[in-house]
Amino acid sequence: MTDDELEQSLRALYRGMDPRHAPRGLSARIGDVLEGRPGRPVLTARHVPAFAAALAAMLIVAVGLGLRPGGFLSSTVTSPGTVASAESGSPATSVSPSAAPSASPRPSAAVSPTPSAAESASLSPSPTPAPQSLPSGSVPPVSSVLWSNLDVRPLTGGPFGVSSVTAWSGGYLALGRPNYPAPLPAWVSRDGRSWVALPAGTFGPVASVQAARCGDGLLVATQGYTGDTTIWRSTDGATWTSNSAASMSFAGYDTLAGNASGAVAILSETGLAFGRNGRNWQTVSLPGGTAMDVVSVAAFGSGFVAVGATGTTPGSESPAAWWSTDGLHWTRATIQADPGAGFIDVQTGASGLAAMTHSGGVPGTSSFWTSRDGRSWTISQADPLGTIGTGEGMGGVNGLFSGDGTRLLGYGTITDTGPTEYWISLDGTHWTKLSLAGDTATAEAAGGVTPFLLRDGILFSGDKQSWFGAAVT
Amino acid sequence: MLDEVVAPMTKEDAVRRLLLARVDGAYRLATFILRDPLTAEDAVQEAALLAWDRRRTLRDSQSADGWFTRILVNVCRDELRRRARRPQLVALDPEAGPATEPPADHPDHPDLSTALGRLSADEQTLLALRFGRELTVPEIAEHLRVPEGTVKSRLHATFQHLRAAVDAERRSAEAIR
Repeated sequence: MTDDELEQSLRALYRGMDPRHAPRGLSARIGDVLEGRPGRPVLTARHVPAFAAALAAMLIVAVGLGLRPGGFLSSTVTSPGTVASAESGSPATSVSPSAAPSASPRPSAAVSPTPSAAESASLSPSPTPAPQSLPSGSVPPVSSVLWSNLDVRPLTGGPFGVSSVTAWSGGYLALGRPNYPAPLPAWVSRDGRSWVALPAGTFGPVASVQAARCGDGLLVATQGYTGDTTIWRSTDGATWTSNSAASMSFAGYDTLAGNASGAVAILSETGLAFGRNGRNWQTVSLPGGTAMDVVSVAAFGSGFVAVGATGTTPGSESPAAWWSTDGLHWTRATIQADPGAGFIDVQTGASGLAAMTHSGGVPGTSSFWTSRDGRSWTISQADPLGTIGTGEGMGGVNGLFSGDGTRLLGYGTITDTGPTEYWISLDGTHWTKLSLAGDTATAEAAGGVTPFLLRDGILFSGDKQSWFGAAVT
Repeated sequence: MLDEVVAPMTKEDAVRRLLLARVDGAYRLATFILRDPLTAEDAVQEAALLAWDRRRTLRDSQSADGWFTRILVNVCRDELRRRARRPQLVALDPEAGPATEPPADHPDHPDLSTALGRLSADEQTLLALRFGRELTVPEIAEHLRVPEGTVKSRLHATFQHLRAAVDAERRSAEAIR
């Protein structure tokens, strides 16, 4: 199904369910309630069973906790083993990450080069409990050898439902999808084959999360539903220290990137910010005036690139990009003219970059761009999966793209019934189709499997099963 | 300020009128997001009451649309998240069909409605705003208070996720056959 067809189907679906008007009596009921000026929303009839069920569940849990050994309803004497376990660093005695202040209101002040008073107050270390044992294996070296084949094998024990994988000198961190109020799942690995889950609740429940390498360590930026931001730092992937970063409101997805020099973040209020250690951030200015919208940032070698658009109204936009060698000083890139379009994503390889634009705010209209160095960009026909969709206002890049700073990965299907194809590139211009061998049928049949580039292969993550595709060069 | 726009009325009267005037539009949007009329009705009531509780945060009548839409969208997103965590009822007898009435579907793409349910709450909301309410990208950006570029990139990613979800639904259906 093309984007055009999908869009038409969506419109038809919504048209089919359009009620045109509210049910008779709804306005009157709301009016009556407002007339009575209630201080709190009332439970509707539909909510009462759910409320009762929740109350019953709480009672069951409370009774269960009370009856467990050592519980408040138990007459059993606490065993020495339980005490020893607690004293040796179980979650019961460790400082929980949630102890870090995280629900402070979002201030209007810009991110300052030095920690604000609020941040300073919250910088007390709150290390998380370490996993019981760190994963085995050794961290593969970074290599830009071109891959041609993958040997795909199933993994046992996860990671599942992965939303991002971040590489650092100690290995990899995989983060699951936020599923509030459940805690964010997370795993660490040295070699990408053997993974260990971080203790549940390491990052707490979050609404959105991003991760990046920063110097020798890792950064994880979590945001709750009240807009509270917390920055988590770790050098080993197991022990995390958090601090509230109330003044940092991330402007969407793919807005945090890092390398050995530090990390760059796109913030809603203040634009770009650079942090050398993830703790102290300073805003940086981009050349090009004030009517700019930066939407995606990526690390490229020891520097960074950022892309977005200038102009704030539809049709007046032009794609814009910037590059920096240190994250602090930025230069506007040379862009091929493409009126009415704006960049939406940038990915980096070892010797080139790829990016995409959307035109005029119309979903499905996109162009594929490449650059050798991030300093000049041109529209390219090198998209390995071709263009999909035809007709006025339609047509665009097929497939999805990701990059880890060494390789670029393009994946998708060319036809509705064809298998997923995986293409690899070091520069965004020259692409090689990967041949997959091993347990590919199960992985393909699982559906919704997402690939993540690792140093010597690809992690394929499904909701209940994952695979590692070892690169064969 | 609201007081200056509707001087003859009290501010509370004005807010009540503003809310009641938006019930039809709110119900349509809630139906698009939640794809269930009963839940949509509850969501509109809940949003109206929340808005009433927060009426002091409304600065002027010009911004009432965006203000109330944001409250409603947040209520709907919360309901979608609750729905995602709620166990699904499954018919024990496969001949008996689904235990609950499925949402209305498109005859050409019967997997679409189910696939929508696989998306995140934010993604379902975004599609409802764009293709249900037919809001433009700048309007969505205004309603959600995010940059236009963010709306575009989220729409792009949402389309890719929806495509993958539709594919997964088709594979599941084929596997059952």
